[in-house]
Amino acid sequence: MNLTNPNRIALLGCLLAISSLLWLPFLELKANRLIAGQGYSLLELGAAGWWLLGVVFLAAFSAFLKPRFRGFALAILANLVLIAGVILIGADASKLLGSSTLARVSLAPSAWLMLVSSSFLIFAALNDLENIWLKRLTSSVGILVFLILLLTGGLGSLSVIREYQTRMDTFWLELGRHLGLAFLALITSSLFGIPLGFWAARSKRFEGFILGFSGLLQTIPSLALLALLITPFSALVRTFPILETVGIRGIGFAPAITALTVYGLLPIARGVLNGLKAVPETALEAGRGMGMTARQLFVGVELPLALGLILNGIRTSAVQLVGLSTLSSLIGAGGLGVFIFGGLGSAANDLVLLGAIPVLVLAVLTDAGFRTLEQASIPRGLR
Amino acid sequence: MNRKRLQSLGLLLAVTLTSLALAQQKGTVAIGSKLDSEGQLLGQMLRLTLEHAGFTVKAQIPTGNTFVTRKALLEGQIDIYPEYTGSAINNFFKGQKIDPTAPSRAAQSFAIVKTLDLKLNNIAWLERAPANNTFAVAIPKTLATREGLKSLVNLATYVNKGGVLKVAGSQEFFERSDAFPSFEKAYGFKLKADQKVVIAGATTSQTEQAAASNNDGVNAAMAYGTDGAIAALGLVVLSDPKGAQPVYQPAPTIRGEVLKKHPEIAGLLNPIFKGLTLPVLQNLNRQIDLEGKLPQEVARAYLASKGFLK
Repeated sequence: MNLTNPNRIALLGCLLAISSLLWLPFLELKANRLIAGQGYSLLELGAAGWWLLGVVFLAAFSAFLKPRFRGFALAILANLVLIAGVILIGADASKLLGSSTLARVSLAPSAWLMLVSSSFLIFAALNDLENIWLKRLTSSVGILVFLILLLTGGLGSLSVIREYQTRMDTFWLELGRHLGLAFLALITSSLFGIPLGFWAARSKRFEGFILGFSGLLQTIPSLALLALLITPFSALVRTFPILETVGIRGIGFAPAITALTVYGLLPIARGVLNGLKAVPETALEAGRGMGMTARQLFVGVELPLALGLILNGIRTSAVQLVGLSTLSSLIGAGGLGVFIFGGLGSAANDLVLLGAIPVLVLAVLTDAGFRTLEQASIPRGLR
Repeated sequence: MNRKRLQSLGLLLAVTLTSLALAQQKGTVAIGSKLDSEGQLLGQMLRLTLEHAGFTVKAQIPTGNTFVTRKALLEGQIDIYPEYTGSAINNFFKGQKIDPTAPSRAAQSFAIVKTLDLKLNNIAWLERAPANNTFAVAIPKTLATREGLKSLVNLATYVNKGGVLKVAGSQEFFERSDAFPSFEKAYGFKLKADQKVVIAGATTSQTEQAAASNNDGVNAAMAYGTDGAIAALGLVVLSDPKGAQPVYQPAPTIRGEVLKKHPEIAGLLNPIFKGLTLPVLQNLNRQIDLEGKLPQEVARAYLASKGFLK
């Protein structure tokens, strides 16, 4: 035992899980899609809830084990909490729903907090584990089981899944549109942002201007920008009708991409600027001393040293764009915002979630992807 | 390739060409709609009807909020979308005054936006639906029958002689001078502070739910006239005979050039909108908002049941 130095993150997660599961509602039953519902706590939903609580208690105990066993025990228990929790959500939801066609069951606070605390536990286990394969296994098993349950319809009684089932075709279409919008906007933002950043780094005079200008662009309210873009794009299409054949119109993806590009510009330009400024003068001196030409100096010294911060800027922009692409639905360009704004309009919270959860997941994945890229971009000598 | 196959291929080609020619002749129409579910429902009705009539339809449903959708119409990016007379009066033709007490004020508002929009923007308003989607007060049916409350006139009398009333509404509903205060002013009653349950940012479905379940003694709710939940929750909407609220009747708005080229569009859509009475729209909205059906499914089922689609 190790009473003086337990794994505090794991303890915090267990505390959060136990207190919320005992005192807060786990699921909410609504008579129909819109009205406020009644909350049910985990134990009101059946004795099976004790199993989940039991696993959480075990996890709390194992936080006091010696670090050698602790990581291993926490890894198993964290995934058990996640798996048991998700299975309980699915089973209790279908029990609550019964055979009603109008009623809806949604996740209530303690179910959400249970999911949060299981991620605490997984994080705590990862801190204790050393073997990279054990780490990968720990962070993926629970999520894998969750996905399997999702795909096999084990969570089909949940309201947000119901919303998905009614909109299955449009969901994937809008998800694809969302990704397409964010990706295209990232490309165009980079096309403009990277040269702007270089320019700013080379000339003191332009630095203030470019940062000020792209900062100013960020402050334009998004809705206003979208609405303002209709007029110039419509005029453009009227003058050059050929543009319409490639899909450019006053509404739709053309003004949406333009607005997103404007917002994506600043982080990229700033990343390039900061990256180039951070290259130490001594490194440049050494390069010059070795007789490098300006071109060699740039390709061989400046760029590799600046690449980390440049990618950092692109990552910030990408994550922002994944979120901002929701706004495209406000100008007829589709995307996951269709569900978010549609749900907000008719006060259907689960429809909002159908749009918001994938945006969140996409943002996290984008962030993780670019972080890996950043790690890989660090020159071998600096790692 | 045998002869029979060749024949059928030729037939197929002929059919395709004719239908292509027909489509060409019918022309292309771009349809938009606002973001809310009723807006999408009406937009889908336009799409289905025009598609059925043989038009090539480019649909962008939903297009955006009122401002974006209207702008798209004015710029010719869409040809037709459903708009409300009240929105037009409040947002596009602000200076217009309508006598709120005139019994024909719905017709009056419609006549004004129709004339002005055609003259100023070459936008035509087709037949409006006889349903009013405006801010209203809804009360439980039981209370309405017990106290004989049909209109806000009855409600004012009821409140002034000390009847029990507690209204749930959003902050905006109670504070905006053109919302609840306009009812108090027009009908001569004044609620005490403890008779108002202010739910910040509340939607009408939340306030209607509060009134239906008699939470905290609430027995009246902020509502929109065509809300789908009203009937399902056992509520009724009190009428507004003095016209404290502008009339919000939906009608297709179409670009003048397009209507001139295809005048038959009016004949296709007018009978549909004429049939969209308050109970009909409430019922269709209920299917979308409460049952979670898709606007296009509800629109298709309704049009088919009325014989507009075959």
